[in-house]
Amino acid sequence: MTNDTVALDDSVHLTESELLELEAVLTGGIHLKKTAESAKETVIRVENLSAYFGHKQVLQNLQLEIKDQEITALIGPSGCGKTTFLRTLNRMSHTVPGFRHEGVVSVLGRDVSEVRDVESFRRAVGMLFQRPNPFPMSIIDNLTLALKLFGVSKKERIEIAKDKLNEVGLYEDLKDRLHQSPFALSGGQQQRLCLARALAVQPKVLLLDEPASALDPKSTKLLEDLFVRLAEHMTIVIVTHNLAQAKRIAKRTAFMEAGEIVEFELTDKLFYHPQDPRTRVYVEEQIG
Amino acid sequence: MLNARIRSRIFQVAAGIAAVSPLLVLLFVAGVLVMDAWPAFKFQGFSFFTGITWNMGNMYASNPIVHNGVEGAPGATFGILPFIVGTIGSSLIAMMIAVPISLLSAFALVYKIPPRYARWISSAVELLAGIPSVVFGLWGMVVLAPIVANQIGPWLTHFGKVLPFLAGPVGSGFGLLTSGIVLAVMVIPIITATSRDLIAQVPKLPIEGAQALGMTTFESIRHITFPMVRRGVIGAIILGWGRALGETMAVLMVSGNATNYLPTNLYSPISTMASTVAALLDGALTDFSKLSIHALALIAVTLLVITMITNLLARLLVQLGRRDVGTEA
Repeated sequence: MTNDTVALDDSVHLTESELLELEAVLTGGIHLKKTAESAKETVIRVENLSAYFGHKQVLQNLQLEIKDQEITALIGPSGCGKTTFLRTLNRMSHTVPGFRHEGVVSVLGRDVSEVRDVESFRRAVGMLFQRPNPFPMSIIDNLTLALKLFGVSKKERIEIAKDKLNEVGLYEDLKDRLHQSPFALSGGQQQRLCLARALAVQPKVLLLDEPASALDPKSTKLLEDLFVRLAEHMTIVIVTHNLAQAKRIAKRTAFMEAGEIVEFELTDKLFYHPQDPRTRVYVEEQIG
Repeated sequence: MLNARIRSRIFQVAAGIAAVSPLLVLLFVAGVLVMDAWPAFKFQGFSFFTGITWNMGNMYASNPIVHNGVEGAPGATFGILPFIVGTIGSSLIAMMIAVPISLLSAFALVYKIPPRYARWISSAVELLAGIPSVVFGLWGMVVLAPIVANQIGPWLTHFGKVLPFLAGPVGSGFGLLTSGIVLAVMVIPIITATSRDLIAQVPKLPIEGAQALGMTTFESIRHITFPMVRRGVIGAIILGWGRALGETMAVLMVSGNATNYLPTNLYSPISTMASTVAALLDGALTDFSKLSIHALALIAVTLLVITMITNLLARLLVQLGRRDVGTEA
């Protein structure tokens, strides 16, 4: 880990002027970053992806490359297929009867249509859902259940659980109530618990399906900060209706409409210089 | 036209009456039964529950014997242990068969079978629940009993060395095992339909969360769905068990109607409490001393008490289960 990242980790304690300074340093480093960029690996590669529920086509000919250590946002009107696309990446769409897809979807070098061991594949591709979905068991068990089923020793899994709670900033609040029900927690805490749960199995990719849509602004901010930090060592794909959120955290954004990717660009470019008129209309309407 | 206040008042009173009526009916039935049964208990004492000889005596005699201040027909003695054993035994066998099948089919109907097939199977299950018990009884007599006597029974006797209760002789096919199987078939739709509805109500989100974590369907059912429906499923099982304990006609037709005899193996003829009441009522009515009727009423009270005890036990289990949330470390 470089010194830069350490500084970012502690950035919570920085004053505003210090932050501005830091930003200046970072923009100065853009030159350096550029070279690092081309070295970034493509983690998700999508070619000619079309998908169907029964006879209804929901995705049309998607082309997309998603790189490591980046947050990629998927935006677009409801029903445009962004959630279906996201759920295709970890084969969750495939659990819906009647779903099928054509084309290549390669995640972490594995073609999803050829994944036979779905369980170990899904361990590498974590997911966070629209609403918090804690399991009906104690907080600690929420975190350790999957590890237990994968054969991690008790001592180790409890260590991992505490570590992950710490990572999402819940450990201090919850350390005395690890054996209580998670349903008494606030929505934001529950969602962070679910994030910790997803992280506990050490995924390399994280899929976020409107993870903050049910949360208040403060919890949303906390989660967004977490995502940014996590993206330093993993690939994140986020579906969001909140364009400001995409702008805040995503390096690249794909705008989808009617099952197609209309435009896929660096986030700033997509929002401020959209190439496609459809993108322009959507972005302008949403921002008002 | 009534004004709103009065209508609301009428509704409140009607709702109140409706709400307490189940309790009142239960108290009334229990009260009448206990009063009716009391002379038999006075006559026989606690040996009513532990004795194995049931004899209504010479009901046409005119010289009643008096025991503990109660008149009875000469030779009358009432012991219902065989009926108690038959009732509990056959219903337990039924539950051993029905519970796993019902739960598996309920989970399969919700999670595994494509909806358009599941709909058909579900309506078949509900249809099965509506078939009159005499039809099941007839099926048990004509179809099942010979199969038990010639195929299932002889095959099970191979395990007799491990479990002596399974050893032969197999007999006619009318008895404990056949009763248990018939009861199981009758109870399966009840448990299946109730648990299926419960399972279908479990929110999808936590299950998807489990799948996204890389858990198998079985693991997510075992750890996520099942704990959420456990209480309700136990309730469904009790409902089924209650039906099995009280079932009369179907058992009467396949049980072999044994009296004064405790089952020695899985194939022994039995009688249950409910079927005994039905079978002996006609004869008991001719008892000049009326004691036989009182004895049948006491059987009914015993059945009521046993049903209540199983209910309470099951509730207790649920309570204990709720405390065990299953946390580690």
